[in-house]
Amino acid sequence: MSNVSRQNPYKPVMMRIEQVIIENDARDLKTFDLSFVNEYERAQFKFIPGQFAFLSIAGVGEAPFGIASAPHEPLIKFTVKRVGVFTTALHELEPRAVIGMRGPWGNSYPFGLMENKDVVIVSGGFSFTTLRATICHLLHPENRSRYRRITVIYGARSPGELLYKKELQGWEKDPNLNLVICVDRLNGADWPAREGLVPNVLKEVAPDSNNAIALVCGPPIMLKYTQPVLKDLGFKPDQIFLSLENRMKCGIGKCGHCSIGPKYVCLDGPVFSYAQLLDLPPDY
Amino acid sequence: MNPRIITKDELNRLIDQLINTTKVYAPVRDKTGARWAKISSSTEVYLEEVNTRDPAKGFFFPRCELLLKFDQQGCPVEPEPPGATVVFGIRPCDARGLEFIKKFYTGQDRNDPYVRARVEQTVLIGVACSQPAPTCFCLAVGGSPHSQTGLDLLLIDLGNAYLAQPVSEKGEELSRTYPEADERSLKLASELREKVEAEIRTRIDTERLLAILKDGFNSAVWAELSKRCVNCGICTLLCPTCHCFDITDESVRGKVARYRVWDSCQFPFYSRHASGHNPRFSPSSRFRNRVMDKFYYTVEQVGEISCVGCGRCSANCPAGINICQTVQEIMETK
Amino acid sequence: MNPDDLLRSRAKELLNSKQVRVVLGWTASPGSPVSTPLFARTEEDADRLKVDETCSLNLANYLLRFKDEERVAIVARGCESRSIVVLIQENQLRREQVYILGKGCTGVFVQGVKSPSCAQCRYPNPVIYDEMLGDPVEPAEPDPALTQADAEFDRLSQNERWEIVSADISRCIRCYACRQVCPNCYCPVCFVDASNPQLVGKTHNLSDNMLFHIIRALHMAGRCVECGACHRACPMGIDLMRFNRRVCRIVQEKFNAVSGVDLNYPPALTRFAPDDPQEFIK
Repeated sequence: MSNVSRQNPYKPVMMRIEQVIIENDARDLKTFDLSFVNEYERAQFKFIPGQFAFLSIAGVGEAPFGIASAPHEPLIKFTVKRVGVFTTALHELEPRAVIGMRGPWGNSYPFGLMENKDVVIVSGGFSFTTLRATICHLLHPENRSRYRRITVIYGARSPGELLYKKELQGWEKDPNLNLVICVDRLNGADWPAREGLVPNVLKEVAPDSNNAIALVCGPPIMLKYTQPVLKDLGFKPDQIFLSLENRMKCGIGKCGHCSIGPKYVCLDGPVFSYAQLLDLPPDY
Repeated sequence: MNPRIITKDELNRLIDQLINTTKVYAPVRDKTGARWAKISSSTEVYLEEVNTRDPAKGFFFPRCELLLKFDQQGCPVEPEPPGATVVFGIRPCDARGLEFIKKFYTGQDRNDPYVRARVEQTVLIGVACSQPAPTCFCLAVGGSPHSQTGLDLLLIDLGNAYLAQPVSEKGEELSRTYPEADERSLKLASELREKVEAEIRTRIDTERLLAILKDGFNSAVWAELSKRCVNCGICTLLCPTCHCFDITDESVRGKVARYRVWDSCQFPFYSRHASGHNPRFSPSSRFRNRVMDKFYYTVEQVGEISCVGCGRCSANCPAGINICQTVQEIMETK
Repeated sequence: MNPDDLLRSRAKELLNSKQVRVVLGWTASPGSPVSTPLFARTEEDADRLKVDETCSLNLANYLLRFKDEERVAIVARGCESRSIVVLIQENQLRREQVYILGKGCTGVFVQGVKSPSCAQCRYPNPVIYDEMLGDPVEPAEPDPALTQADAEFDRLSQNERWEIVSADISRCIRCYACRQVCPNCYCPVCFVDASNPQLVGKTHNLSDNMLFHIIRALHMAGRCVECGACHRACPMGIDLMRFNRRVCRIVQEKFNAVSGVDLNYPPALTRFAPDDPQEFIK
């Protein structure tokens, strides 16, 4: 849980947009690759997959996004869906534009706990962002040997809605993990091979729950139907980790917006074990 | 730190001296009774009302605070620090509220530099209450009309003079040139304390309340209690410890700035996600959140309940909802 | 008979005969300076009902919470009955959904002082009702001191008026109590909460505070019944009725209309008559 203390946690550092990729057919999901304007700020920015950062546009506002790049990658990656005022303004920016970023905030996925265990990643839709960071990190030659079998089940509504298609195509061939991609409807496409909803595909793949940790990230409806499948497969509540979202303003557990009971999603989360969630009021 | 005696004239002179060198805030007379204002003379100080309408939390956590300005390139520029401030005439409940704000914003491993700057540059001179308002209940939540928590100096009105009890170095600095208090004065102060404390009869079993709240999320009592609530923000905005805020950017004629402003969990869009999902959409969920936060969540977060018993929420609720009554009804559900 | 006794017995009869599911009224709130609303559903509840000078809100504000109920009863004083008329005219309620227990009113008193809106009230008795609790009251003369104060304000220069109003409005803490206690404010998304586009800034900048209050007053044109609930709810004591009184007067002068007094006469700004004044067309 690295909570890097900043001199002024409200002050963003300047980032340059190096690349913008449109991820989906609907063109409302864009991936931004950012570089640091100031070299010394790049050296100070240390994060672990699972954490998030705020992107800031002066005069418009800020919003939190999960970091989609792994720590060893040169650029900081965010995937943003256009839903409101800030994301619309961000989507209108081109490469070379400069925006602000503050973070990293929150806790990370429990890499310490995951060592010497199987890792099962279950994700759907555009929540896959921090899990991309996680998978890249796990697969890195320096890290891979610390974890046992890696299974990834990732689904979207249709092939066009899948994120990070280039990475997915690479991982499909990679013997270091078992990647299962599924879509609700193939719509005549020939990639990916599997049609089905994520919870059902999870049931079919049936990963071993013995000595395994599950990382789950997706829309509320997917979480709702995935939980019983994991339970049936033998995963205990303290073996399952979810990444939650909530309305945020400060990112440092002060403004109160993201509170769930006495916990703050930005400070005590966004990653919570299912055991922890069972203890919290259903206020999210 | 030895208590001193300061006559009323000497105190006015002290205040006027302070006005020459720093910003001094005190309660002043207002059509609502009393409110905080920057004073330019000791004659403006008005202590007849037990409390100001607006809470004192604005001295550490202003209603509207400039966080950053942005230059032409969009680079953030921090504002100047606020400068030395003296707050005179703060009541012990409000001082406890400020102590909570200080703990919450600067006590953990994330430091809020704006609150910290204000804490470091502010001197708090408190005045003990000689009689409670009908809505006061500080004793019920671990406070007292003579509490020193959070203050630098506490003044107790003995009639012709004040007993001045320094609580911190800053308070010691302010009071050390005055004569030490004699036994008679100390005894009188103690009697006055007993007298005013005896007038506050409300008691709340906060331990039992905490236990009930831990289990009470799904209780039917919330829907019942919140029926009359109109969902304004008065209770939270006037509360000495409510600390929720919003961050908003303003762009006026090319000048761009980022501000922090008070927000309230009672507002309907407080918890609304950009996607439209709103976990606390129902009025009863918002009502529940405030009570839970005051008497349970902050216990987990910083180890203490955050209600200081000032009674502002009860005195100002347009729907006549009284926090003590609310708490009593919750305790009657189990 | 003590008026509260009549209210209580009638409430019990209405509930027991199942003519209504709930009776909206008031009850004492120990430790609070004002009374609190009571939504009586049982005989036990009904025995706690009362209505007196400490009933500071406009009770019609709560009616829309019950719009899914088949029928509710409500204790309504003059201004509250006019609010009910406005809500019916604006299609927020149907007449048959509300059983009005009318009551004449001698004003709301806050710490012994009559609320200024009540001191200038011209409609203390309900304008519609299903039955009256007690006799109608004699309308009192509007307080001449307050009328005088308004007239003096109007005689000031624009700059002087701006100074006075700015000083008052700059104290607004944007609690929105004025909006929340007003029966006319039922928009699902208020203009101040709109974010896309954002119409009003969220800081307490005087411009933004003024924008909020002036636009809200304009939204009240032809609808405000001058109950004064907004003024009494304001924790900072801002004279919110100053804007509303002026807007109501303008509507009366231009369109010869007073809000909510006649169910058959729709709000002034929802209708057009060929002889409406139009001196703004040159």
